[in-house]
Amino acid sequence: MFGKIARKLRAFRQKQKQPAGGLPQGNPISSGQPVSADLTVNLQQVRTLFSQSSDMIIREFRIGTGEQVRAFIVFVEGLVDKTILHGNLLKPLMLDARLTPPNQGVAGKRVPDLIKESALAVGDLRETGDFNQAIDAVLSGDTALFIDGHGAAFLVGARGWEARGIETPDIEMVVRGPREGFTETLRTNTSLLRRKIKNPNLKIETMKIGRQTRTEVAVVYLKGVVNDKIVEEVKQRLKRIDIDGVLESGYLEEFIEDAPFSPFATVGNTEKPDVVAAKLLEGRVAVLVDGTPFALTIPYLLIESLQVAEDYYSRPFYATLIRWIRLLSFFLTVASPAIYVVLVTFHQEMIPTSLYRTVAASREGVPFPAAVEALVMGIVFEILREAGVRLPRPVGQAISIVGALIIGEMAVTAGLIGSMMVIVVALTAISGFVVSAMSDAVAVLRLVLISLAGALGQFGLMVGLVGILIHLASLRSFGIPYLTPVGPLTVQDLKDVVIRAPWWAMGRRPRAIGWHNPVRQEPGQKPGPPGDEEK
Amino acid sequence: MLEGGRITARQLIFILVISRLTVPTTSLPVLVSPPANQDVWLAGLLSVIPTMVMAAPAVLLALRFPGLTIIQCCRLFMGKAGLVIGLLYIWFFLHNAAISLRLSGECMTSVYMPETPLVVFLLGVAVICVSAVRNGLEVMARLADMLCPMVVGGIILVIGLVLKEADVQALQPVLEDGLGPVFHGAFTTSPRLVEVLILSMVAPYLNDPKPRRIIWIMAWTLGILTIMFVAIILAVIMVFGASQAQNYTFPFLSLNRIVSIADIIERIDAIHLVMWVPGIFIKVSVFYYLAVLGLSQLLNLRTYRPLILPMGALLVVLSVWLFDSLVALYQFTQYQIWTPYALVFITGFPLLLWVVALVTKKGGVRQ
Repeated sequence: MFGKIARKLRAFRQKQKQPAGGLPQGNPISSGQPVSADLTVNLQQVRTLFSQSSDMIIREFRIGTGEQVRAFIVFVEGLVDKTILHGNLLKPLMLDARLTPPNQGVAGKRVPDLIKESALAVGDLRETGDFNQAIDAVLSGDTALFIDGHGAAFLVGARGWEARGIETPDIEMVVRGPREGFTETLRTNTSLLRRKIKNPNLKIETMKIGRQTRTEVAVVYLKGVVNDKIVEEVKQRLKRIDIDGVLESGYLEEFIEDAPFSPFATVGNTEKPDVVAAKLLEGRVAVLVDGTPFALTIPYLLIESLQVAEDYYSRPFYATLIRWIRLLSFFLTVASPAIYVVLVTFHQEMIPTSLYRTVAASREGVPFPAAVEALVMGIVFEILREAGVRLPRPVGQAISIVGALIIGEMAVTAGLIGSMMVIVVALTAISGFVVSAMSDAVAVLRLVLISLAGALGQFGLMVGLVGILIHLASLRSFGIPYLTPVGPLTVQDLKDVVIRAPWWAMGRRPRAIGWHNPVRQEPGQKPGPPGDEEK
Repeated sequence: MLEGGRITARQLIFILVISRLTVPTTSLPVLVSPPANQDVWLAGLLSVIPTMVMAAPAVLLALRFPGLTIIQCCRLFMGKAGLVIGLLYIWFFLHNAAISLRLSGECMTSVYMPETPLVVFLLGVAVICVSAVRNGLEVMARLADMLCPMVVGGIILVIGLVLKEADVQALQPVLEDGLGPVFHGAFTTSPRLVEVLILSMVAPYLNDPKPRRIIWIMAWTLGILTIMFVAIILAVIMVFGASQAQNYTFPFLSLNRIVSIADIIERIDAIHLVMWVPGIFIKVSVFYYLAVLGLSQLLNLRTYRPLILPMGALLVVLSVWLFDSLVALYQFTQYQIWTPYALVFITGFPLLLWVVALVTKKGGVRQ
């Protein structure tokens, strides 16, 4: 049904697009234009382009002594490391150039070549003949040097700006494992990845997305491990995007995901470089976006929301147990209010008698049917949670007092809500935090299941669950069935699903994703006491 | 291509197993077919042999025409008669789906929620079936992948839990009436494996449709089914005794209800629903899908999607309209009516097609 609406919307959009004739006015620097050999022309153009931009600095100067060469640099204040700019660019050109005596080697050469070869003491120096490309680079933090009589601009990479340092992410906490998280700067993030995977096959391809914002987006993958078709598909989908601005990777996620109307995410996100590195090693693709610490990982399967980085750092038995607890929590947070409604409303006989007496006593005098009670409490909980997240920290305590005391305690005392219901909602909420990666999908499904359970009892609950299962089975993430490796069943891959096999037993990459280069490590590395090796 | 999806051999086995197991976990009609005493489990065990014989023509046809469903075979070399046979098959698929759907609704109304109208349950199951069929064969196969271990595991769990109530004495005397009725029972039970027709409709969509594979699928399916089937019959008879078991409308469900362990695990009807609703759902949606697929193949359509909703409406109406009550449904599915009826479709038509193909030298294994 949603698909149909989406198709209609798409057709409508295309219809709208046609009479407009070409793209609407976007970023002024999008079409190619050469750098003029005449400095005055260039200067004029730059001045017009940046006429009302007070952060833009244009510095004119002359190079050399005798027949001086005119030149100017342009950069954005705040995006440039001024120490490098002054010491390695302006000083050599303005002062050192005068001191150099004209000798044999220098005489024959043109000024721009001289500058490129022996004056600019910076590592990252590029030359471009495209004026717009030069402006683009300036806006990204480079410094452009224009020289009279030279039909090209030098781009000096002396970027440096105020940025948040590498910190521990607030979500995705670990007890054991690396603590660093991504930052808002793309280059810092790619360097974090490069430090983990020191391999020339780690490819980082960048592109710019956003008509107005021209945001840098990096597609990261491990060549030789990744399935090239998925990389191509990711790049294709990213290239198709035509959007005004990209402020967070969530913008891109909505453009590239497979099932835009599904409550389940088919594109993953994480703030931790070690998680991204692990996914790259499994053969996945990551998308980093400048300006946000959240990286996207593709393809994303349901099971990944039950896997946590720490599973792989702690010992396997405990990790396996915790994984089952997480699965149970997922089930509880989706279905426990609905199950409670079913038991209390339709199938009292399934509750052991002594327990039922307690349950019935707690519901004594409650004026609402169990389903209404569950729905109301579910919504109240979502309100409390949202308030807790948005409030400034010092005020946050007030929320817990209001939530726990007034709504929890007093509602029960006043006889509005049964105390059992409060316990069930609390259990639901706590379990929800265990699988926080799916919190958005879970919240929707829970309400749907409560309604179905309230209307049709256990039959309704089963229909709802089977319906969810059908939906999950029909999803794909970049060609990979969403429920892999459970449906379609891949027995070999269950080693990282029903258990967390020890690392020496995980000889092969997940088959659905890493089939390209399946062998992760040689088998037979099980450790043992030294005596065993001699046999 | 009508159906772009591909399924694996294991997924097909799982579909066949789940689909067949819905009958013994609901009505268990074998209890009242001959010999109708404590020996029915022998009939269930022996039914392997007639089942193999009855399934043979369909399997042979699938082997002779790899890449063609039985409906496409009809169209290929039967002319006008093929059209009629094809239509009859579509009716049979739809009829099967409707019977299962009605059975699920009846079970829900009579056991769980007697005051809710039957149509509510029929519509509830039909809605999820429509959504499954819309998603195609591959999604149903993936669901079977997940649900089959659950269904089989649930049955084993229930049997394990009632084992302490079981009494081997109930199986005696063995062969009270001699072997004759047992063989009769084995014969009348075997045409309940209408799932053979799923194989002859879906075999072309296997990702590895080698002849060896198809025989392998049949062997595994029969093996798993016979074990589960006999286990269910044995459990029911040993717990209730043959004559009392015949009185239950839903014997396996009653088995669930008497479970009582340590005063905590009591009346596990919930487990029955958890394994039975998915089973019914798979069975109804697969036969519903076959009807849709078959009709679109018969009419040479490019896609089967437009047929889904009309066929679904027909399915619900049919399941309401076919029987007046549960008793009428049980009468129809008794061996006196069901055995000859199903036999025509499971064995009769495939045999006819195969013989015609043999005589006119159509098809054949290309190697």
